[in-house]
Amino acid sequence: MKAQRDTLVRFAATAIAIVLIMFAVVGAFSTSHFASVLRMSTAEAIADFLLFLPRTIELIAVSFVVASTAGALSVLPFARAVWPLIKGLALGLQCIPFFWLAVALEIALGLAGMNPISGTGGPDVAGHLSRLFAPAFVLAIYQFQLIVDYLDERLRLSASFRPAGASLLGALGAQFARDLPDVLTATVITEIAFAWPGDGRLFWYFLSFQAVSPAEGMLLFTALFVLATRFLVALLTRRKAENADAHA
Amino acid sequence: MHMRSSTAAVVVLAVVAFVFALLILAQLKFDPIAIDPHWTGTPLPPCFVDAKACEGHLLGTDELGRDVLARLGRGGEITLGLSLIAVLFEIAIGASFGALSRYGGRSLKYTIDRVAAALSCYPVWPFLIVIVCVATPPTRSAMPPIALAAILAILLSPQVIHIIGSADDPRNIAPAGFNQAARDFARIIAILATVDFFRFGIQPPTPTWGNMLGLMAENFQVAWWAAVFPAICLFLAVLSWRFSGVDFSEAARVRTLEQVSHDRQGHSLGRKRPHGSRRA
Repeated sequence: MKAQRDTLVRFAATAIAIVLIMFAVVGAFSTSHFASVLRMSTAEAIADFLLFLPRTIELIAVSFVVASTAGALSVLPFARAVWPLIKGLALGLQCIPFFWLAVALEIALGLAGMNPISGTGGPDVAGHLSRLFAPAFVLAIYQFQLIVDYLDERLRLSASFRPAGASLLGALGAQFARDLPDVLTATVITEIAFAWPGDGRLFWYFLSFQAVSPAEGMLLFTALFVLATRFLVALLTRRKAENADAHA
Repeated sequence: MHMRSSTAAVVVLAVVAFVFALLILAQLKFDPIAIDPHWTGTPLPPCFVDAKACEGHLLGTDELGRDVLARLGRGGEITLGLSLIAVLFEIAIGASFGALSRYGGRSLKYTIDRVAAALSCYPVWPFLIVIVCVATPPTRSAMPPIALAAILAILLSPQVIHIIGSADDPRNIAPAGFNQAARDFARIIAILATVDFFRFGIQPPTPTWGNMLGLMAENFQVAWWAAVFPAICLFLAVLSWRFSGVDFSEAARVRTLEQVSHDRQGHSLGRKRPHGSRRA
């Protein structure tokens, strides 16, 4: 009980620190140039954010399910023989700059007819899926590489072919909590490269019009969301040794 | 294991020195910013594609008729040099706050750890470009590269602070810290390239490996060499530092493994096993 209360207090203190960091950034540069061609009220900015949120959640959820399924399958006993191969592949993918991978695959998949180069792909479900496929694929590649890297780290620590002292599901959760900021960065880049109408592209749109205040608000929300995710994972796994807890 | 990681360090340093020499040599024949007099509006191909048309440009010219090899050289000096500065900043910040957290008493440790944890919740690249946006006028030309490196170092320092401030065994600090620094060096190269690619970092005509790729989507079918060679350079740079990181961390991991098996069984069984067969 006391441990749980300590965890709660620790997370609350971290949340306060997150808000203070953003205030420090806003305060430090408050005298600089803030002119924006966007004349937007706070309510309008929030309404836009909520409008695009489902598409971002959709993209992240689909790619996470694909990547974690592939990651979980690759550490099961039957895949033991190809594990070094998977590791090598993940290391190679890690070294390609992600923005380059996203733009190159956008062009390549577009030329191969697997990604609509212009337009929305069609109003029906099939058109929506054809639009979703390429960005979800690219984001899944990124997450798969992170998952393999994390599992490799955990597997090396334990002598057995299992994450040390934790279930596979717990390990995947801890990985998700640890790498969520990087996944969100990759989501922004993917959405820009594929013109996916989500919050990452909205963030980019705000910045390209020098509308920094809504962009800062989105960043603050993102950081608090990451913290909440880490808190949930720490509560669910309930292990002090878990990385999710150590990070928060 | 110590032998292996120090060998790795020597190899990495030798490769880095060699690469820097190559990068400087690459600019001897052509100026990275000057436009080739033979340029007629179409990029010249690399010499291995068309030996006659290349006019001495080994890797061809870009969309404005500038030598790609010379630009790779200058760009590499800037990209790798700035990344090195950023990683040194990161180690300095991480080491000082990590030491404060380790030896500075309980309340100080709590504060530093909370702030570090809070910082690690922010996605790095979006935070960096927001800071660039608020700190510079809309032309975005005023962010000095050194400030970019310093901000990036602050944003990436939580991991180092955590390693130094909270390691159970002080002997693990050095290898784990080196591992983190090598990993972050690779990360910094990639992040700075991304910032440059999206035109928030160092501005053209000064070349970096990131902003050389800025028009890659438009150029891919006209001059693939201008979009591919900087990416290959980035790939190799990140790969080499990831490999050195893997090697440094081996020492820390093996020690942890020995410690675990020692604690569990009362003797260090793990040490006798050959390195590759541990998982089988």
